[in-house]
Amino acid sequence: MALVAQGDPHAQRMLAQRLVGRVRRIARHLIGSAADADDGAQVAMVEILQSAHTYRGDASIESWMSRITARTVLRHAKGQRRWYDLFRPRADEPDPQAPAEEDSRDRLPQAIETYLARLPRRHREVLVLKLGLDYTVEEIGEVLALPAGTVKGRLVAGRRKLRALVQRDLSRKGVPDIGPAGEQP
Amino acid sequence: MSDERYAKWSALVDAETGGAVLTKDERAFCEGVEADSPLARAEAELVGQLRASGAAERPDSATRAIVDGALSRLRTDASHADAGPVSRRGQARGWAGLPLVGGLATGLCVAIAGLVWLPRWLNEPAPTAPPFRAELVYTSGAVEVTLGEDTDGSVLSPGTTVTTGEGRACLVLDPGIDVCAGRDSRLTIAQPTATERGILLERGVVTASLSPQPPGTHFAIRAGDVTATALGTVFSVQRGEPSQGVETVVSEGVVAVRRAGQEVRVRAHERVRTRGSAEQVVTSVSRMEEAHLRASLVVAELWHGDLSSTLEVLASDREVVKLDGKPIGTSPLTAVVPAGHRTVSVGDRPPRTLDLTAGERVRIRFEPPAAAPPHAEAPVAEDDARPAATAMPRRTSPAALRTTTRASSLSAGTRLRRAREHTVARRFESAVREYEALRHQYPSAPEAHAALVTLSELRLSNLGQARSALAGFEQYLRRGGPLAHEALHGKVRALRALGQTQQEARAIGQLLSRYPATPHRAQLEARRAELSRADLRE
Repeated sequence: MALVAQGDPHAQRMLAQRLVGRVRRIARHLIGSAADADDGAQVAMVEILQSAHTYRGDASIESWMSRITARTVLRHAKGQRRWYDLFRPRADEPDPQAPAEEDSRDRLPQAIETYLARLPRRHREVLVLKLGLDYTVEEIGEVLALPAGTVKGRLVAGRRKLRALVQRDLSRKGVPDIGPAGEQP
Repeated sequence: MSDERYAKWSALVDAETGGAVLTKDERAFCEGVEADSPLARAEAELVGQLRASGAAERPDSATRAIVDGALSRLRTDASHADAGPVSRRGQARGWAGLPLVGGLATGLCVAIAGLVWLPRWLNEPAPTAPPFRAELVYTSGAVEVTLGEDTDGSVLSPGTTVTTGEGRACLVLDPGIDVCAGRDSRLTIAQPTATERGILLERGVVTASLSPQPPGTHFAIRAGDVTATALGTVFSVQRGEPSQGVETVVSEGVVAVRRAGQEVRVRAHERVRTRGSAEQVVTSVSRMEEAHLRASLVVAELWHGDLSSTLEVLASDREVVKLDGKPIGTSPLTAVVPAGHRTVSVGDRPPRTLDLTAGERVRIRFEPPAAAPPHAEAPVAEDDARPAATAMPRRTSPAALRTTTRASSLSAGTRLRRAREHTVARRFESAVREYEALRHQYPSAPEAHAALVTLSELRLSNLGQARSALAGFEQYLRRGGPLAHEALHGKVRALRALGQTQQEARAIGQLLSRYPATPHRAQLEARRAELSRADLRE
């Protein structure tokens, strides 16, 4: 890390290669759109490399970079939304009622990325920070500039929306709404 | 399994998600339900996937591209930081406003009208954030401008729309972006965030030329669902009828063209055409096309001088206007041009000579040959407080007097260049004199304000004049600007040199709080701790 902080190109590449997979996954979870997420991941990677001097060794590098990634990606996503809002007003949120792609429903439940992309942004962000990156409610509030009560409300609402999506997908496949595994209602 | 169990499970996991901590029994209950219920199990599986957010994805071409892109950007940022702030615009042009009057130029309803001297603009304090300014610097033929709501004098706000009919129009966006709209085009200036600036192209063609942009800033042209983001370059974007799609042509550098989440990197001498749902295909550009692209930016050399004036040429529609023998557009024409001794001609009529003073606006009218002799000058409207043209006696407005005085001495650009030459040659006292002269002559110019930091740095680091340096840094910080971090760091060092330890500790605190990512952080924290220990001992 000391070499990275000093701007050593070889060390920077080594660190970037080590972390890029994690950075990309976090960005995809937070942003929802794969293409936008890769942009966000690149911005976050630059931020990580530029912040190497702030790493003090009291946590794992992965934990340290997760925080930087989340903060940077959320900021980047906010900027992107402003572009879109300005140029082509569109619904900010995806339609959670929209059915999943037919050909991707062979495996249920689908991958978490699919559901996250169908969640409203306000719910997606808090769920990823809380469940994916172990942020506390207070920390989420700080990152997103929200009161703790709002964060809690969004977390619970997001979880319920996620549940509704899973229930709908499984019911389409014929899985009972409630009941022991393998039993029919 | 009962509804009640599932409902209880849902309530518990919701509460846990909201920050509650489950008891051991509650956790065991949840695990039991997850074993029994396919729904609960599916949801738990998804949450498990989410908990693996921090796990790495398998490397592929996309992850390699992210790494390469990040490292490349890091190097670019570093080189920009070494090069210092970027600006290639003359400092005397900020005054050039372009308010509108209605016109009936060619059946389209508008022409650009008067440029107004705005001394109050010069006296306003600069914003603390890096400024984003857009100014109209060139119009030729029929051009309509609808000002954005926050337009202030010459500075066009985001939301300003420029529509060209038979004419052309060029804008300068800070820092160092020239944008020229071709015929039958319509564009809107946009700035979604402090670091992003762009153009929304509704129809027609725009050509852009960028000098290296400051780290973290972006410029893009958006046409429908196509976004072309410049990565330091010369390029054009053309949007025709929906059936024709959007075409991006790159002459220099690289442009990232994105549509519906798909991005294509278009390099120099390439084009990408986006039409309907067809895939974006990159093809090469002929030399002829590229020459055509660059031709639309040729007029940009007009406003790249250190000191500029504004020239308005009125004549019959669509007559060729020449400046110093070179065609610069068709009448009616308004353009920011280099100050100095200039020759203007329209059509076949005899040329006229002008002495353009920096900061001055001159209107010149060429009547049709049969209607009036060539030397006849149209009087400037009574309500026009700007200097009149050419042979007419110059009005003695305060603005005109001030510009005359300025032009009689060395230009700000010359002063700045000489100061830098002295600094490189380690003639620090001469450099300080040049910077002081620059500040004295052009107190309101942005460069003069920025020079305050360089001047103070010279005094502190090379001449041992810590007190003067401190005063300079503080003066800069009072008005603010993009060099505030450097000024604050200079202030810390000046206070240290003066032995004012309490003030130094406060200044360190300010710097660390305002710029937590400062590269001097470790050093400053160590110094603050040292000051704190010394304070305790006392």
